[in-house]
Amino acid sequence: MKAIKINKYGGPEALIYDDIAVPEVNGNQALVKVAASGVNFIDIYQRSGLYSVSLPYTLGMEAAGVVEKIAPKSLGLSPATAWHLEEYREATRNM
Amino acid sequence: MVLLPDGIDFSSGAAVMLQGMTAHYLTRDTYRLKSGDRWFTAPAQIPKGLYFPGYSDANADIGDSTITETAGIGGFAMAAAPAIVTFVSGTPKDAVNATMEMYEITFTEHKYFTIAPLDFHGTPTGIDLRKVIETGITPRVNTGIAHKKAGVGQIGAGLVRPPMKIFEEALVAFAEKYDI
Repeated sequence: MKAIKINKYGGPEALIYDDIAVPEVNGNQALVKVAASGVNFIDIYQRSGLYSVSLPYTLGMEAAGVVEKIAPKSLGLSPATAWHLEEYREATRNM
Repeated sequence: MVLLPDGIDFSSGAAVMLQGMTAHYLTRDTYRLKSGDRWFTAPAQIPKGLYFPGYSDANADIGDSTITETAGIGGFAMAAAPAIVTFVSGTPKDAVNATMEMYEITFTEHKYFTIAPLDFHGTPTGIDLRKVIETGITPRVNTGIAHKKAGVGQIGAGLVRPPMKIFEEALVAFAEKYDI
């Protein structure tokens, strides 16, 4: 998958469009395939170093997309259950 | 993580969360809301100002720009930044007048934010509800103008004033609470 990263603080030239491994889901996390992401001033502050982050860092604070994978502990769901998006939607509505 | 409601597209969904977090930290970190506190709301206003070439269709003004004015900066400190007044087709004299107007509705002058053209007086700070009602002057807020369609972003900059109605409602509540 693609990511926009910084390896060091700087101006727009510090942005790197890079390939990274698809993250594993652990604990109460979910894997979301991003369809749209918000761009905020905090992204600039993090890129410039005004707000410190742990480098290298993948920028972006908010996004919308489709849940692809969900870790067993998420939302208190049973580990044995295979959750697809539609089921997840229904489960969320019923909570 | 929040379920995207039917009818809301991905772009709109992606744009919501941090804006909401702004409201969250203002009510937690900046000022911790407690039982008995009240706030007053009114429809967001369309800013008056200058648009970038080729743009129109401003969104109503939401977000945290307004908070800076309550701390004695932004539109209240306009006299310190006369270049900003070009956003509303003004002159440096208008910038000074903008700050002078805000002294009419504030409680004090800021201790540290001082304005050279005004003999280093502090910026007008602490909006006094009673003075807003008495003078009929509402706070002036410098703000960016965002397009009403998500994703287009900033399309200009200008001035917005909150409606008088919220100050009237707040004064009534103030009088009731303190038995005035």
